[in-house]
Amino acid sequence: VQGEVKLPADSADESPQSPLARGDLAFLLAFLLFAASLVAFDSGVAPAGRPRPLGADRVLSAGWYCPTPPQAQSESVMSSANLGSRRVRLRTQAIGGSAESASVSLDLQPGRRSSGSIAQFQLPEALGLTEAFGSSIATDLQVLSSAHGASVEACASRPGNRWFFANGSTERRRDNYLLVANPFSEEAVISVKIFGPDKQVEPSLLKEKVVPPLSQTSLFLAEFVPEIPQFGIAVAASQGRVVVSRYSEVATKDGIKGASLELGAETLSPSWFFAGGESPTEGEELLMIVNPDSREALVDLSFQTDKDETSPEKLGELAVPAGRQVAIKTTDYLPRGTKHSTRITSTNGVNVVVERQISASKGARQGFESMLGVPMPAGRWAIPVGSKALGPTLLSVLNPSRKVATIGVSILSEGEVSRPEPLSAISVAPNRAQSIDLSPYLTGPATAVVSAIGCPVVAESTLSFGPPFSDFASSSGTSFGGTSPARAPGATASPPVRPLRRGRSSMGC
Amino acid sequence: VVVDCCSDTDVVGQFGSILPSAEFVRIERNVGFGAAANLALEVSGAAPQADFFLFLHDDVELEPEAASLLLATALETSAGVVGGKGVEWDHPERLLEVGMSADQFGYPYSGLEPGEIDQGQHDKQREALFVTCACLMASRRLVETCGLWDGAYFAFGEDLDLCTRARLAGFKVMVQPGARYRHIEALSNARRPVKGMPSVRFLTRRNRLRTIVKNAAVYRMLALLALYGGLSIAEVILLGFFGKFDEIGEYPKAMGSFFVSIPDILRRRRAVQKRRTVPDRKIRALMVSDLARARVFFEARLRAWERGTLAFGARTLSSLAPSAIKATLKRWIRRPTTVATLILIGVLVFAMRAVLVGAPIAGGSLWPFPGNTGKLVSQYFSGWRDVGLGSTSAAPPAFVIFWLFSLLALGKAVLAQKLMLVVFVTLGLIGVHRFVAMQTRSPLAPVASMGVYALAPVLGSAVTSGDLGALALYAGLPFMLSLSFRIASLRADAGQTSGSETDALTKYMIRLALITVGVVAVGPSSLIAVSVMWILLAAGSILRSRASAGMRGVVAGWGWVLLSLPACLLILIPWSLEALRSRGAILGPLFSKGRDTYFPLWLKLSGRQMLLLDLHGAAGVLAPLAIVVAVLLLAGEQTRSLSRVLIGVWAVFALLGALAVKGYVPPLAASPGIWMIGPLLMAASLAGLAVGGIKQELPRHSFGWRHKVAIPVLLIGLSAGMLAGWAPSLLGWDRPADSFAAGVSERAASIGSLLASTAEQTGDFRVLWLGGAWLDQIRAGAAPVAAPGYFLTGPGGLSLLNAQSPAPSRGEKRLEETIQAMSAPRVHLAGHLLAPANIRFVIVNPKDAQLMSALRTQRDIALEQQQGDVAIFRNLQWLPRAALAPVTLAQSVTAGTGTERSVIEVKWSGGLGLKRRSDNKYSSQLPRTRHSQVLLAENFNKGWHAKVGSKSLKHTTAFGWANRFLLPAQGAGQVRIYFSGKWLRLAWLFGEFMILLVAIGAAGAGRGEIAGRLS
Repeated sequence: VQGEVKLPADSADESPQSPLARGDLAFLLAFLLFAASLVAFDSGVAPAGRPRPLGADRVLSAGWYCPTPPQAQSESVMSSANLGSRRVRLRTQAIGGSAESASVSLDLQPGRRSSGSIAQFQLPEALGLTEAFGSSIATDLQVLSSAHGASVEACASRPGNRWFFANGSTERRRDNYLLVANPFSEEAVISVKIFGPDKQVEPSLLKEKVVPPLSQTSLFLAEFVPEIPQFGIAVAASQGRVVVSRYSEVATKDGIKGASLELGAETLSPSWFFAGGESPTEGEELLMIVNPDSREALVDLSFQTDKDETSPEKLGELAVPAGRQVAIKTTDYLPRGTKHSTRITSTNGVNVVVERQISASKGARQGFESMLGVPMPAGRWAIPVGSKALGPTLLSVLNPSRKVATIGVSILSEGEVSRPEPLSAISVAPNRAQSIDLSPYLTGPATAVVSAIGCPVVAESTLSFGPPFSDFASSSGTSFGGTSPARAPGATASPPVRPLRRGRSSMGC
Repeated sequence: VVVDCCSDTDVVGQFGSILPSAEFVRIERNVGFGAAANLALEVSGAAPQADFFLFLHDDVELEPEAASLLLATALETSAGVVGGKGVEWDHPERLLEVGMSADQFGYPYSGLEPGEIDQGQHDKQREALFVTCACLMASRRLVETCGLWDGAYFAFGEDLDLCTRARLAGFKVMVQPGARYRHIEALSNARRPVKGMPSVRFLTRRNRLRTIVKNAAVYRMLALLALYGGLSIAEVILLGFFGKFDEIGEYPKAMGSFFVSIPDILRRRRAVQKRRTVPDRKIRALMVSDLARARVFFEARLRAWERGTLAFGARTLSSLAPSAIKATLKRWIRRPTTVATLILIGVLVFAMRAVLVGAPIAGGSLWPFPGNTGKLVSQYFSGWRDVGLGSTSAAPPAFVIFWLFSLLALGKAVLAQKLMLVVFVTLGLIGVHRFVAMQTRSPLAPVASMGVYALAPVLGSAVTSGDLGALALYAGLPFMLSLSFRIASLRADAGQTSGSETDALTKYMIRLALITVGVVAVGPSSLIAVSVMWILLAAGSILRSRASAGMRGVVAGWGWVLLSLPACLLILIPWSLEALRSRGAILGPLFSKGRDTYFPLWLKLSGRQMLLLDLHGAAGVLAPLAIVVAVLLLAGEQTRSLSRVLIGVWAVFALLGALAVKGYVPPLAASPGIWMIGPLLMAASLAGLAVGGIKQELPRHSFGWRHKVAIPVLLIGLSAGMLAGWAPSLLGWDRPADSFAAGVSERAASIGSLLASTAEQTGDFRVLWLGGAWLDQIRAGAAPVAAPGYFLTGPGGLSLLNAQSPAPSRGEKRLEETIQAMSAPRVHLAGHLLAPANIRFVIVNPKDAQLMSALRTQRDIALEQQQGDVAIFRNLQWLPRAALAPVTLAQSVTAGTGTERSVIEVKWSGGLGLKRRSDNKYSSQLPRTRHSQVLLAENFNKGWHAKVGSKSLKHTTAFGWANRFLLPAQGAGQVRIYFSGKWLRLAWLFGEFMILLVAIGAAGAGRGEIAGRLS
């Protein structure tokens, strides 16, 4: 038995005719049909859903970095709001002079906000750092200078090695500082580039500049750059990681006085949005576009109001030369006093950075403010609103999509979380902007959480500061991506807000 | 006294005339020699007056002077026992016995060569350990002092027992060579069947135990019993190895019988020991010092080998003669098949040029062999494997295969890897040749199938992606297919199952299982592909045979084939038990949900490629289609029937593969290469059958329309497809992408030097290789990992030892959570979380923007170096592998939560490290500074122990996965940490090795076949 194998193919007794069975033909046809179907399936059927990208909801820890102006010039107050549904442990400290200060720790309940002055850490020039354990927070910094004005800005949740600004100046009476903070134990080396309207400058003293570990350095730009009225700035770290803000103090001869703190943009983008804006009755509104790329950028601009959207013909395919800055006066295209949103899109794929500057010596927006746009709409925004020196606070929302967006606003303050009924379901038409006066709902500094249902939006707050600051500030806060699950119209988007996954953001929504 | 133990012979009639004065005793049942002799003395009237008793077997004939000489010797020496010189009955010049010795266990040893001629060389009166009961004279004094024979022996060993008792009581045992006797040895030589007699193996094994327990001193007895147990197990395994399964059962029977009689033995022991006047050492002086049976066994084997070698040598010499070689070459070169094969080999060598020359390959799962191959073996035997965060899991059986290749290459790492590649590919081609040759008699058919098997793009993909699993399956599957068909045909042809047929089926099934073991060891997930193939072939064969009466046989045959799969897993225990878990190496791809490291390779393919054997271009479509069309139109009826089954298998594999690449079903194998080897083999076989059809069956058939169509279709399609579609791909066989394995490329070397210099300064640490850049194309068949994928190594960097990691344990799961949190990013202090795992460096590819951004976000991780496509981050919160924990961390861990938050909220930096002495040992002097605990960054296992001085430390978990030892408040001295599970591992491996030996023995050729070959 062992080793004997029958050889089926060698069947000598097979009929010499061995007629082809119909079954074989049928089998052959079936195989060919199968092969054709498989090829058709291959090209005609989309792949099934791939494994979802990672990113669970639970936040273990996050650090928020707030470069602050030198304490002698102003008072800086760092505030954090707990956006999660669980208690969060906050640890706040200052970093400066290659040292970390003692930290202050506290537990923050869901939906509450907590503030503290950087001055308490007694470091003259320091970076404010808030670390959160167990849930997600949003942190902002309010700078109050009775001599120059006030400003508010969201802090950075991550360091980077490239930072961009579209606005800066070394003119007299316009003092611009770059606040370069290195919150890490490794040394950082940075280089700064200046993009003027007609030239690009690389100040030799700002090349390969060392930022020591655990420190913040204030660079007064006028010391390094010749007098240029307006320019864009790029800061690149060839080693280490930094956080860069720009602090501006303006006191012009024509009566414009104000302060502005702006966190740099980490990335360039083909699109930029400003939810709030106004062609002021007095003063100017400028849109400054910087193209750090080596190719010319072609950009389109459009303005959205609560009633319509306009795209001035002159601003279609506007050329922004490589390595240059271009400034546009909106008053040339919109009637003065028009509240509007702005959308800037690069049509040839060259990425740019855009900043908006509003300055006025009187009127509703008296003071000086320069803020970067946001590169993409998002489902949720945590925006600093209200101020110690309480003035009117306006919330502007732009819906850049093709469908109606419904937003809900919650206000997180130190003592409570409120969900005013009139703010629970506000519809924003496609490609329209809407302004909401939050003043009736505010008693002091707070964080407004804007939750969009259905389509992502862009939001921005404008805070007015009364005397002695007599200034205003704008901030688009921090976006949290994604949109809320669709709800029935009129439903309330209520905090505590769950930290959101990074999700899709479609203009078509 | 003539004793007749229930024989059929007329004893009285035979002996009455010769010995008229004899007394006759008949016993109605066979009680054995000793008991019968005792009875004879009891009933004999003359016995009470005798001073000496001479016991003789009935197949013994004394020479005339023998009895007198024995008596004279007994009187002269005052011996208790005297024996003579035994010679063969048929050849009285050949010696059988001149006094006997034995080993410690009682295995008799005569000290004679087999068939040794009696030339008087042993003719000296002397003492012996014992003399056999064939002819044994005992004195009355001995009988009265020590008693008679022990009747419980039945046969074999009672003489040793009697003589040992005599010696213990102070009697001499003498040999008188002048007393010659002839002996037939009828019982030992099985020349006389004895009714109701137990087997020789049973009696000898039981009786030796009895002799040991009765006569040995206490400590020697205990030691001998333990050794005897081990020896018996080894004997059982060897019996299995030689296929003597029917004899294995005698061992438990012998043990059972021994245990039942223990009370009787102990009673007798007490009596023996009571009379003892001589210590054991004096008796041991007469024993042989080594294992006599081993000596006898190996002497016999050497003689057989010598005979075989001589015959083989003669044949070899004749075939190596120049004229013979010339004639053989002439014969070969004239064959078209030889020419075609040589061309094929040339093309293949050309295609593989990139991998056959140059530095070792460090891509896919083809990793350079370590220069020190001892590391592979030590990993295999180590109780605690330093892989990932440490594991007690069994080392992959592939290590043994790698180690063997390393041995073959004489330790040359480069050569070992190339050798393995060449062997795998060569084996595959030989296998497919063999399988097709089994199906058809056309000599060209196997060559055609080899061509398809070698040149289709599947092999190229496996080589260029470094898919070792696919290459192993490539080598093994053709042999497996041959065996499965052999098994199926054996069973299908048989009406009734006979014993010899079952033997053959078992043998082939185990052979199949052993080949599967080899394949699965290297490419674990190929087990699924093989299982699917057997099921499909079984279903196809059953459908084929549904009309015939042999369907039951076909079902049974394929049942035997499927039985090889559990047999394979059995042989691979304990590794297979771990590999069969949902995250294990075998079933991992099924449950990995796309996280398997090879999954991206699936995504690169399309369903069309699955059908067309990984073909990218359009022209090659013709080749597989031509094969199918031709075989269905050309071949004879039975071949067509077989072909339909093979085509069906091919189609189902293609369909499942197409669904997998689209994501509708999970991939059934770790890599698409593994999945496509099956269809490739089907296609190659079909090509062979088609060519065989032309050559073999066409002449027998009328030249009809289908042949007019099929031959051009085959020739044009196959040629065009292979030349235009497949052959160009041969130019593109490149080396697998470099996966930064240690010591290969310059960049890998620069990383290695950084890690090595850091290790020199700081001691041992781990490195986290993070992201797809390192992982997308490595670890074929290994445990799946969570995206974005990681690899954990020591400062030595990536090496073959890490290539096949076990399924993640608690520590790895926690690490995966950390990596996920870090890459989300949901944490800004990931260094804190990585620190307890002893991770000092994180290495990523700078092109991976998400990971780079995530790592830059971390406050406690700094960019150390960035060169080209390698970015090395340093963990500022690194903790040594075994560390006296800093107080702040100790508080956090003692708080008991061990959660991520409790670790990251605490500010801490570094701990005081304990020096690492080996993979399993750490030690250092306990410093004066106060520490409350020692943390060990290895997965928690109860096998870890720690001591301060001689005091053991309490052992608990830390961080939910690691080890923590609590230090005493006033501790001083040396802190030692060690792992104690080595012996368990060795026992496992010993068991595994023995199972493998038995399987190899069972799969080997039967005794009959060996005899046939020798003749």
